[in-house]
Amino acid sequence: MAGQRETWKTHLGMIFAMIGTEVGLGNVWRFPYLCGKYGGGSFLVPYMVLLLGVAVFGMMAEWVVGRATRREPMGAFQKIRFPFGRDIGAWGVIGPFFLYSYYIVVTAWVLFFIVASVAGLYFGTETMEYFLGFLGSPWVFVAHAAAVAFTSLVLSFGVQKGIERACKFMIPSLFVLLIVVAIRSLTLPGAAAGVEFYMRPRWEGIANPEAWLAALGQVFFTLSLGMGAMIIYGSYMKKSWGIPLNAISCSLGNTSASILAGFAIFPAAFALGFGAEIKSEAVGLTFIVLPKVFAEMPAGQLFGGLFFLLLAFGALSSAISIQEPSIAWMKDELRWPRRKSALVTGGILWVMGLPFVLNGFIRHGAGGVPAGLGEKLALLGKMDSVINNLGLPLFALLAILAVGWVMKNKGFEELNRNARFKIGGWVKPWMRYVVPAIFLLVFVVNLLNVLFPSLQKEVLGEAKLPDFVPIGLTPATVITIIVVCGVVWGGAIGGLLTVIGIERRKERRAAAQGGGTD
Amino acid sequence: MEFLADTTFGWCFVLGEIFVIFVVFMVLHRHALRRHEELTRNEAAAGNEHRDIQEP
Repeated sequence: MAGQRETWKTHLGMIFAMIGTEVGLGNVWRFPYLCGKYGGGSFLVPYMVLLLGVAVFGMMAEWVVGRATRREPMGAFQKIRFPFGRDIGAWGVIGPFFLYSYYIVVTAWVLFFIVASVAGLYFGTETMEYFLGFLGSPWVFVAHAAAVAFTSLVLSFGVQKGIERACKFMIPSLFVLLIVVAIRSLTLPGAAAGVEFYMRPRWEGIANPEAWLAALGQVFFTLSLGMGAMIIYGSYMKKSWGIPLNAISCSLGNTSASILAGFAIFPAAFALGFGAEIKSEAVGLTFIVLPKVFAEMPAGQLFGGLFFLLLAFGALSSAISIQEPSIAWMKDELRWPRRKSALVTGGILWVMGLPFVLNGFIRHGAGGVPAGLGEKLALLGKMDSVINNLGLPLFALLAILAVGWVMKNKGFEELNRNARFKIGGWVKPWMRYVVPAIFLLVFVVNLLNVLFPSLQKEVLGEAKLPDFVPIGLTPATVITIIVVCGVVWGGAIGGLLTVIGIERRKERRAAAQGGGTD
Repeated sequence: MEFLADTTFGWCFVLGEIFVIFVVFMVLHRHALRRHEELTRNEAAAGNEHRDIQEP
């Protein structure tokens, strides 16, 4: 419909773009927190089982829908003849639109905190007061406009020269910076207590249904399922690239970043006496507790700046992928040039983000008391509840149903097309019954949590961080770290090298035969 | 501006914004489809005319 479809230029560029979509703010604040809360290294058992057993199939399904149709979500659902495909696919275009409108506001805070860290602006202040003051300052407008302008600019250059080039720089840089900050954190005196908190195996965590529920939520969101971005990025994949191994490599690459983030945060927080304050899984940890840690750390300005820089790389690469579905829709359906589409979506998204920025300016909450974090982030929290908790799981469920029930054999053929590591026949019942049932569970649990916020606490009890006495590293923790890092990092690097090796061999063979790959 | 933190306003704003943008988007999409069909028809007609001139 829209002429020649853009594709990724290189395999490595595609993998970095996919990891860029997945690695974001959630990896840095949510994963380490859940690990510490639900059993350290043993939390990795439910996490890895659900990541590789369930969520990765959701990712494969979205890639299959995208690559088979070569369209944005709306056109893709229509093309595979999904019932009400056009209307359902519309959510894959406008859902990310809403997600971007508030995600970019948080990204803007991260951008500002790079400057604030390097200049030491929050050093010696009460960080909560500083953050609340920042939310009501004109700098949020500046940072918000800069973040929107950046993602729109990158996207205006196209898939190869824009997204791929930016991710090829940002994602390796993110990993390098994570390693630098983790080394600094691990070499602080007393860092072992944080490592012990983060990775101490507590086997009772495996039998805890709440840990499985938390892991399910985390694997779902960490792979950016249901955003439409994976369908779009899948539509840019070459037909000669296998899907299964690439999906596993990207999932493990994403988990590697999460694990590294924990090593960057917890040792420093415990070493500098803020271990007890790590009770928040969200905004509080990143913008209130961590600034305290950097303020106390030797060379904290440098390491604080580096930390927020790497966080900005993760957040911006995710924001780019969230903005892309609407641009692809304008290109495919309205036949607008990419630059015009990027400019128009950037303008609309900037306006849509303004209410969340303005919310930070309120001075008083209910009853005339000074507004706290809850009041200043009220709108953002509600939009997040609807989009992140309900919209995305529902759309991811529809994508897996599209492959299992609508595309059927064509979908499974597309999944294994040109794949060196093919998935056997068991994948059909798995993707038709088991994975959709688990995705439905995510949606229902989230719906109940939105409608009845106290229900989960009443059923499963009040979730608390485990009691923790700072001690040195125990042998069990050391063994856990070796196993976890070996499996995740070894798997990620091995998978990456394998897919690149396969791709090179294919290219060489194709060149020898005188034909090109797709 | 304090109303921004009000719970009722918040839910109305969020759900209202989603509804309005969804409707606007679907109208825009339908318009785009109609325009696309019209263009395709015109192109086909122009192609036929062109062929008639070339091959009388």
